[in-house]
Amino acid sequence: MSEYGNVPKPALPNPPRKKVYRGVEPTDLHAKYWAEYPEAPAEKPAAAKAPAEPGFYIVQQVMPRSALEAALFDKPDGATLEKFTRLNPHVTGYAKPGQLIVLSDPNNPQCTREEALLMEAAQKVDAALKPMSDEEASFMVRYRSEIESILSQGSTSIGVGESIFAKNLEDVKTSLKEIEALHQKSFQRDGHLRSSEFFAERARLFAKLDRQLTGLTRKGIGFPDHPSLKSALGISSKSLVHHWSLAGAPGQIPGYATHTEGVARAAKVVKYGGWIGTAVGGGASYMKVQEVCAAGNKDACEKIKYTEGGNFVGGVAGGAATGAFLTGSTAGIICVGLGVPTGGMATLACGVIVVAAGSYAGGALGGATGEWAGQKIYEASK
Amino acid sequence: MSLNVVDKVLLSIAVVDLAGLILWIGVCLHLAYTKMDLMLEHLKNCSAIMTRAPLRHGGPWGKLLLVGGISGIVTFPRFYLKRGELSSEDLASFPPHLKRKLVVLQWSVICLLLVMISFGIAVKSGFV
Repeated sequence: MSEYGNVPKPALPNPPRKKVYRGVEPTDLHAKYWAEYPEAPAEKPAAAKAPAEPGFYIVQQVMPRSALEAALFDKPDGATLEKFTRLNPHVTGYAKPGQLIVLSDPNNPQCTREEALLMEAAQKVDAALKPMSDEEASFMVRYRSEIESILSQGSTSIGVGESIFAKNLEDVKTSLKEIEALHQKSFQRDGHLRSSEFFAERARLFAKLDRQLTGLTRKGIGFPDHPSLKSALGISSKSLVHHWSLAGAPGQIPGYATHTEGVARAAKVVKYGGWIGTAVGGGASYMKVQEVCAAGNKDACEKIKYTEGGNFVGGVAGGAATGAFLTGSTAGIICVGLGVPTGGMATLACGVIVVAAGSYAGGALGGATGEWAGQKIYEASK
Repeated sequence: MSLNVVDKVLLSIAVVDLAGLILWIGVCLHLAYTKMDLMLEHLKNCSAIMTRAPLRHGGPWGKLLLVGGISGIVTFPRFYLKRGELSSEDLASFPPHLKRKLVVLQWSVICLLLVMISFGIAVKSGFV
């Protein structure tokens, strides 16, 4: 009831003024698409229509060939299996973790070039895997993302994430340029930016840009799924299938095969890195001793054996203990102090760097202590 | 040639310190090879520990880092507790004798490293 009693309200108390259309309410397209297809890759709309392109699968654990087929195909038919056998001559009795399995739609006869590229990539991966034992290979597959993120921190190697990232950035750049060009074109043509044609086109470009940005964040984490091929082959959804262009065949976009060699090496580095560091330190000390002793001065030769021996022992002990100490809360506190956000790969990378730098410094100080002690022991023994 | 008293004292400190560090590494590795499963089992709800767990596949060096990490986190849990990366129930149910061992390890490595660092700096800058 109003202050005037029970008076009926006019139908339109404030008749709207003639409203100029200023575009639609902004919607959070990112949230919308993310909620709708959290598993879907950011594919360009045109590509989804084409018949399923070839893809590949990375073996996750040691399994016999029959088990692999059963895991990949829910109900395999003859044509699919026949093609599978023809495309994967490298898979013999059993599948090794990390192996690349080529998959292709038997109803798509056009993709033989891509299939050949994939098979080439598979051979490359196999060659990289050959020196590794099954245990090492499954270790590598399990910690691939960690290893890769460490690898991509190094300036020498371009990580898978990085190349995909670059490709995505290129796409985003193109979209932004298109949006800019659309603004200019429409303004030159109409003298204003109010035509419905312009809004429709701009909305399309914004949606595209948004999908690309989603893809950017997603693909930074790992390979995107390739669902259309998966449904064409009847592959059970728990196995991740990747699009052929990510396989990193020679001359293609760097992908899985390009970096498998690096990853295989890094898995060994994680495992044997401590020994290598120790051996390098020991080797340097040994060479120093050899050099001085070859010069012929007996006293100097005797002395450097003590000092370098002390240096080596102190270096190893100091480096190892400092590294182990920093791996606790300290690295985390240092990284947060430096402004690195906690959680995720940035922290891991920061932690690795802090621990590595710390144990290097610890090794140097321990080495100095050991060297001094060695010298005093030498003096005392004379 | 014999050493003067100051040198003798300093030399014994340095030798004891380095020997202590090597002993410390040995104890850590012993724990890593005998009690690793037990420790990780008791801390399986702590993401701070679990992100470091892959290190156990990294040979003796990785195992040493992991045990050092666990001992540091168990001794000074406040930083990770505040961030929710540590479960206080897990910490409370951690076997007390093992926890005492880890805390002692952590404090001894802090002392040993402090001595080593001051010694190393003194040597590097030419005081001794």
